Amino acid sequence: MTEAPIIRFEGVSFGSPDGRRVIAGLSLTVAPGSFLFLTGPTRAGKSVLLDLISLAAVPSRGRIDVLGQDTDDLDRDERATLRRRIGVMHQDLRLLNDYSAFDNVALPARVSRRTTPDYREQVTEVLTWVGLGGRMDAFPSQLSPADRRRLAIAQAVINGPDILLADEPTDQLEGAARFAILRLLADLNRAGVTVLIATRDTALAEGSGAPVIRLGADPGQVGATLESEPVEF
Amino acid sequence: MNPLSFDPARWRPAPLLPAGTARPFWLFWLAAICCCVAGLAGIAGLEALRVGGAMAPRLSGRMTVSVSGTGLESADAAAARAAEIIGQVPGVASTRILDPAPIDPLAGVILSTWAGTGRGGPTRLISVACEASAKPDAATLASALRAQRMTAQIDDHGWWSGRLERTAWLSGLAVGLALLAAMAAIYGVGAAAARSGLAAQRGRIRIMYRMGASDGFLAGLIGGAVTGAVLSGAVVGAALAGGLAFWLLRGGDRVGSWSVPGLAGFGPWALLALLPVIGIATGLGALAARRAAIRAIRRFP
Repeated sequence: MTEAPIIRFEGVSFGSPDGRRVIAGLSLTVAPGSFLFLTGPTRAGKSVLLDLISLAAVPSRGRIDVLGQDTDDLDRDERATLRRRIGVMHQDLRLLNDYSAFDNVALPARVSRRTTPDYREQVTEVLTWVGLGGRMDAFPSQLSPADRRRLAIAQAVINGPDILLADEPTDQLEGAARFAILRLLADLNRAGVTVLIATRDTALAEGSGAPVIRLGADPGQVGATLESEPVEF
Repeated sequence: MNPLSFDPARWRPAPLLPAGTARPFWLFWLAAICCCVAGLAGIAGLEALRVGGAMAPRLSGRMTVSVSGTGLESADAAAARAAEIIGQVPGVASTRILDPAPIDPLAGVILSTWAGTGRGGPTRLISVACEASAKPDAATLASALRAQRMTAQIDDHGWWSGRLERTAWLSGLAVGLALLAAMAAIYGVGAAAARSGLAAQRGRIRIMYRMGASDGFLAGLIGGAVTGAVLSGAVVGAALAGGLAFWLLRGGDRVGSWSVPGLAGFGPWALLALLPVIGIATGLGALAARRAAIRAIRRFP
């Protein structure tokens, strides 16, 4: 690895509110531009790992560096700034149902205090790129499950993130729709975005040829540096 | 859906928070009531100070002496003699026997009780002006009159002047406390509205937070909503207070058949006191909402 890691965990532990240790002493390093899968059964800690990377959770022990910054050293404004460089596609998508597709995609740009002329054209381009160019004024409830996932991807990338975290992006999708979503994520990776996908679908992850982080009942140490070549779907 | 039906160039951002967030119906009314109370308190305080300030100089350095006629001396003769005696007391600048015509109808009702002359003959009043530097007291005047075998009732207005000034000061203190209480209520109401707005939109706020919205940005959204409602309530409450004050004070001047110089003439400029009330109430509401929102948002990791 020639570049500094984009994500680094050193002995990170995280316990759930009920006292269960979800992640224990996890160490891993992710190179910039990687395309990785994170697999494991339900409640293995996949979503928690994504939350820790996206600064939505704080580890009980250990050190996390994201984009070259020790997250423990950041004040709240700096954490907010860093969060804008990390796109997150949640498993439950977290789209606003009273917002049109256009408004949903514009939202991260607005909360980053970007001006309307600055992002208006970009929202149009991103929606067109994910295949929703003709549904910009549709509300999430009017979209198919696959289109809602496309919308969530568009929302996650509007601020041009360095890292994209996708939690079960192909959940409830079948066949071509699954691969269409994965192709969008692979396109982003080719554009230089580090992509980390959490999925229960181990066959999909292992069949992709991309490195896989496996979280099990006993969250293990993933000591190696994870790096990948661009992946095709 | 027709792709041509949506034109990105004409798109306008949707509100970040749904209409009504952090603007519960009670916020407007409580802000209006608090500002009405604060406005009335402010105007009352200013009026109390103004009236006190206007009346005190008129009273200080003045006394009124009441003399009655006897079987040997008419009231007019007694008044003339008393005025002469008093005029020679050191510190007395001038004396003036008041015209009995407008006083006589009142004397039986009011003055007889004070002067104890109801049972006797007619009464005459002498207005005494004193020098500010060496003002004699009522006992000195009484003693000078007694030396000439005259008795009279002496009202030292300076005593009233002190009472008036103290009362005005106490009124100012009371209305100041009422004003503070109203503003504290506004602060509490603003914070409660912010907390209720955050609780109602917690999911939405969290989504924006995780997208990278700063604490200040989110607190500004909630604070802005609260500020708008408090401002509207404050304007309505202040207008109500202004109307009430105008009606009460202007109407008060016309009550009765005679007016006291200095009490008359409610200063409409006192209504200007409502402007800072609106400004302070809105500022406090905004500050409370922002602080409450920041406290709640800081619980996010």
